[in-house]
Amino acid sequence: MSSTTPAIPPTDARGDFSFPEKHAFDAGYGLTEATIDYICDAKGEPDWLRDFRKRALAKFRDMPQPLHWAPQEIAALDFDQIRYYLAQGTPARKNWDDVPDDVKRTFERLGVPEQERAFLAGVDAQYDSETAYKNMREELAKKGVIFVNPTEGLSAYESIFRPWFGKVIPVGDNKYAALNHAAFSGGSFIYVPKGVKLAQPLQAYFRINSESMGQFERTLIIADEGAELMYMEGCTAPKYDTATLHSGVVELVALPGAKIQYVTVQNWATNVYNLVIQRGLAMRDAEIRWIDCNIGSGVTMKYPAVILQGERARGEVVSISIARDGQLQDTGARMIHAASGTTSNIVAKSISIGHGRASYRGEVRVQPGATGCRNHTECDALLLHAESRTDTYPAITVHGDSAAVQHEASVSQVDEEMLFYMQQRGLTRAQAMSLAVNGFINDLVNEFPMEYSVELRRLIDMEMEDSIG
Amino acid sequence: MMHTHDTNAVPLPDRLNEDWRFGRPHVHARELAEILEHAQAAELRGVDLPSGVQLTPCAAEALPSIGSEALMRQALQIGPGQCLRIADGSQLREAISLHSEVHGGQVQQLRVIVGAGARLHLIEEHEYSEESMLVCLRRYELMPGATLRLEQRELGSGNTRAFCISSCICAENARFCSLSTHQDLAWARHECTLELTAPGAEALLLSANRLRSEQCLDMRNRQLHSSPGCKSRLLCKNTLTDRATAIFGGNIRVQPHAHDTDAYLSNLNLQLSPHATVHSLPMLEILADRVRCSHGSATAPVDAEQLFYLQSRGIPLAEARRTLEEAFLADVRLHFEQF
Repeated sequence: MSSTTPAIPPTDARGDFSFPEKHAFDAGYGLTEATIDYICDAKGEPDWLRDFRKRALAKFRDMPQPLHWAPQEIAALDFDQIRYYLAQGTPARKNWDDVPDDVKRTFERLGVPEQERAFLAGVDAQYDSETAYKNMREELAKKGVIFVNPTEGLSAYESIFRPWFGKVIPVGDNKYAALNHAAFSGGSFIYVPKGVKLAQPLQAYFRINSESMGQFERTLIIADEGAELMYMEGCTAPKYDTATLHSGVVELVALPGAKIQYVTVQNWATNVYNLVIQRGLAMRDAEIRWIDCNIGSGVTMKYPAVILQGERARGEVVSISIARDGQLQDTGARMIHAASGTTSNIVAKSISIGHGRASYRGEVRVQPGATGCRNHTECDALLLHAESRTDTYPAITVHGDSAAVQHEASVSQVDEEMLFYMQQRGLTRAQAMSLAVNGFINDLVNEFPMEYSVELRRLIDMEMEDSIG
Repeated sequence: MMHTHDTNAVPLPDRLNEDWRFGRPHVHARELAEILEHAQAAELRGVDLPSGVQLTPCAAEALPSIGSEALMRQALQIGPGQCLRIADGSQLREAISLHSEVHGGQVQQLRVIVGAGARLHLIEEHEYSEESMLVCLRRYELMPGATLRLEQRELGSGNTRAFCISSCICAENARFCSLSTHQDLAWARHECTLELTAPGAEALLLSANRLRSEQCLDMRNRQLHSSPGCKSRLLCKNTLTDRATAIFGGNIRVQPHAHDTDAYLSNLNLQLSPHATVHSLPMLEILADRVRCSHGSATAPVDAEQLFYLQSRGIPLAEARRTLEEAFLADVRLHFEQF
């Protein structure tokens, strides 16, 4: 594009609102042992969990920020200026009519597509730290599917969730893992029994409503042998003057033959630090797919990972990120081939608009002794303005002589001739640009559930109108 | 030249430094620092210079200013290096060969200036004796319209090590092509920064290496496009047998406003042993639009069908593998010869 194209101002009108805060529980600013006691007391958690959180807090304090490789922007995070626990103090409702009107209004403003769909299996919307609305169809319960929040999961179903809790992402994995282990509240714990295949997706919607609120949700999904499920989450926050932190942890466990698809659409406001750790463990013949879309937030660091632990396990990451002015989308994927015959695929596409910066950071590793492994990685970046930036930082490690690992990346821009052709056919420049950009990510958008892909296209149209029109 | 140096004052490479990840840097880095403390300046031998070419002492500050700085600063204290200058417009038909033998711990500093419109084919060869180590700092400056074809051959034997930092700066319409080969070095680290500073500059960086036993080759390349309308290509091929390790780090960086850049980097590895290891880090940093940049990295074993074909023609397995290994590396030289 021409270097004279003006940079667009940040637009995030979708999240640019909030409702008055009415919290029954507020742990205040900063994270100390007293904060943890407050959270544990508020949630009525057992002593082992209190000790666990405190050990994690000690680790969090000891560990340095990973500045030797991570974007330097995270150095500006002040952990003492964050509120670690807020809750409405009312129990989760069984019925949509019981949800308070202000909460409903928030969801309506968000345009949460979930509400519109009567066929939804379960909706578990997280408003700040706690579940505000939860509805699970009876058929799911009959099948033995457990879909609860972490507190309930660790108390009512301890034998199922505790053995895997913090196992895929251990406390000492990194500073933010330790932070989440110490301060987690809200999220989803899901167990799908052997052989149960869920035809409809499970959903959750996360939203930060309060200024300086950190969101530390925790998700653990266990798909027992031969089970299949799709989980979708969306994230939004209104814009405040001070930066907000979202540091979630998602652990997936796919036991032999199981399949898990995890879909995230992230549209946080542009002053949210979105530092999320997502990792799945795939056992023999299991499959884990991460489908990831990052549109919002100021700084995103998210690298969905699959540890291919069992033979013939399969992992896939499909990722779209859009970086506008002032945004850094540092996203990527990790594939650890720890068993023979494992295969993985990574497709990442990014679009940089204005002064936006989109980076791909990935790791593919074939461990010693793992034979016949295959990986294919493809990263494509589209730059829309002269000031836009894109980076690719892959790290590939291959042990042994039987693995085939391929990585390719390319950077391009919208072809002027293509735009000219479309304009000549009667489209405006913004429409032509929108069509071209949609074409760039079209094959990936199709991977998303229909309602998300429609929304994503609409969002790109809006972006193009703002930046070109 | 002996000198005292407090190694603690210089931060040594470690695993937390991304530029030094992989390849047991902590083992080599300390030894490097120790060797540098007692190193001698390496001598160039067998230089028969044609007219238009001068070899003169060169001040240390004229040498590379980028790379693993801590070690480089230490190396620069060893003494003055040499400067090879090719007069403007010189069209040298024959290659100039710079040969040096490396004994013990040595440091070599070389600056090559190719004058405007001049053309040079330079061969640098280092022959290592047992247990020797070379730290080499090189800087190549290509004036407008200059052409440099450069062959760098590291001929090791046994437990020999090399640490080379090169930088190359190309002016308008300058053309640079390098081919580096590492043979029988126990450990080698090769850092190369290429900077294209004016429109029309073009560079081709090539490397072909056969690694065996416990050898470790750590190559780091940077293609820096600081001007619009430049072109760079990089191709690094390695074959690995036994317990060899290959590390490749490549980075194409397109500076703001360097539009119409055309850059590509490719790292290809042929794995011939179940115990060999490859680390590949091909990177892109693009700060301007209207560019064509891409990279590729592939690591794979020998194609079973190709092996079968050769065997069906009566070629024994070991020979078939060797043939395919040679064929895999052969096209790199071809690219060099066609430049």
